[in-house]
Amino acid sequence: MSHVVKNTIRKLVLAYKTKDVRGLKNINHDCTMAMVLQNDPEFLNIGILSYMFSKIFAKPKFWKQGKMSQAMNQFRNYMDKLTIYSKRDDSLSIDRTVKAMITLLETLESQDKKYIRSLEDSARLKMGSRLYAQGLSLGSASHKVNINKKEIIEFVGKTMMADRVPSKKQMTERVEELNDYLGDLQ
Amino acid sequence: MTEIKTMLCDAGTLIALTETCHCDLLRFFKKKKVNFIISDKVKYECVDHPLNIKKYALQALRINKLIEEKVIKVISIKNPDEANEVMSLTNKIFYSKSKPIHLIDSGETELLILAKELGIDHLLIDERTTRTLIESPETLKEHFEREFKTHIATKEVNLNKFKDDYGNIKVYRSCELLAIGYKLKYFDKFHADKKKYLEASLYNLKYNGCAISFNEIKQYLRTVD
Repeated sequence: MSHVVKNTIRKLVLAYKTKDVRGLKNINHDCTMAMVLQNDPEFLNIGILSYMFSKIFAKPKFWKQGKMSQAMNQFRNYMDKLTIYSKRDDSLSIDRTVKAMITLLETLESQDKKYIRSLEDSARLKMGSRLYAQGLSLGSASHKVNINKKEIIEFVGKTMMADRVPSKKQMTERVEELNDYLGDLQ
Repeated sequence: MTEIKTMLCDAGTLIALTETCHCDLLRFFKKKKVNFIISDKVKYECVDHPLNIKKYALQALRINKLIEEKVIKVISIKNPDEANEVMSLTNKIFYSKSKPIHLIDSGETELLILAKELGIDHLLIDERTTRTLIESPETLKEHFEREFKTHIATKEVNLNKFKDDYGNIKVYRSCELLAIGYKLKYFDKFHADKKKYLEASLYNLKYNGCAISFNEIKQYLRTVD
């Protein structure tokens, strides 16, 4: 197991225990970056989980009431297990534990569903859009997070991404070139 | 007799055009003897897969209708093994700390292969990365370095091979196709309001994922009568 994964798990456990929303968001950012630079799919689920917890901890009504509050002890146990598995370099158990937490969160969320898109899907969308913004192709980004291209297209269309990274050729120039090819059509 | 023109299309472009109610733009060009070609993988991305997703099924049906009407033609690549080779080449151009950056996926790769197999060098693609890789790979490298604040190494052999094979492809976005449509009177049905329709359509394409800046649209509109 790479030291980057170990370090990320350590940060995740700490941010969870301190309910550090900003810290959890930063972990999600780091995981997205690692998916590009390390090309390691292990970071996807860790990124999804940190995003989900960041959203839950951002709104106390989510985790202080009902079944979610009862599940907090269960999550704490999972987090303790993560620390142990990380020390043992046990990637398989880490992956299994992270997935179990995502499933549990999904189940809890589905019992009091407010939005069509689940927290897990939102996490995938945010990570996919960031991968695209960072420079991966749309296909590559959607494949890595396993969501439809259209979801990412829809999301980035409402951001300033295309304005931040200017195109080599301007529209006027491209229209001239395309005009050379199609302009003589009758 | 008018010569037949051919353009390859990526899924994103078709999605943007159908989503913004411009299926008829493709029909308009088809009547003017322009062939639009997609690969199997692109069809999967914009028809077969979204058909099973409630939110996107309508747009998938619209594109499927264009395929049934033969406005869009689906062509399979001759040698599927080549897809792996091209993907391997392209995804081993840039490296971070000796790890390759996986840039493009099978949909984009199939389009590049089709372009080579069919000898078509006009590609409609709204997404930024493949476009930049074809037109200016150095810009992509600089972008990675800015994003990740780390040195990105280039494997020159692979980059040069990519440039040799695909550097001649001319890339356009859905908004440029729309602009040529305007020139060829696609918007004339709106009479005096045609320029307003063009402007609204360009912004709508942007909001639907076409990688174009507000400035580009403004600059272009200044040149239009």
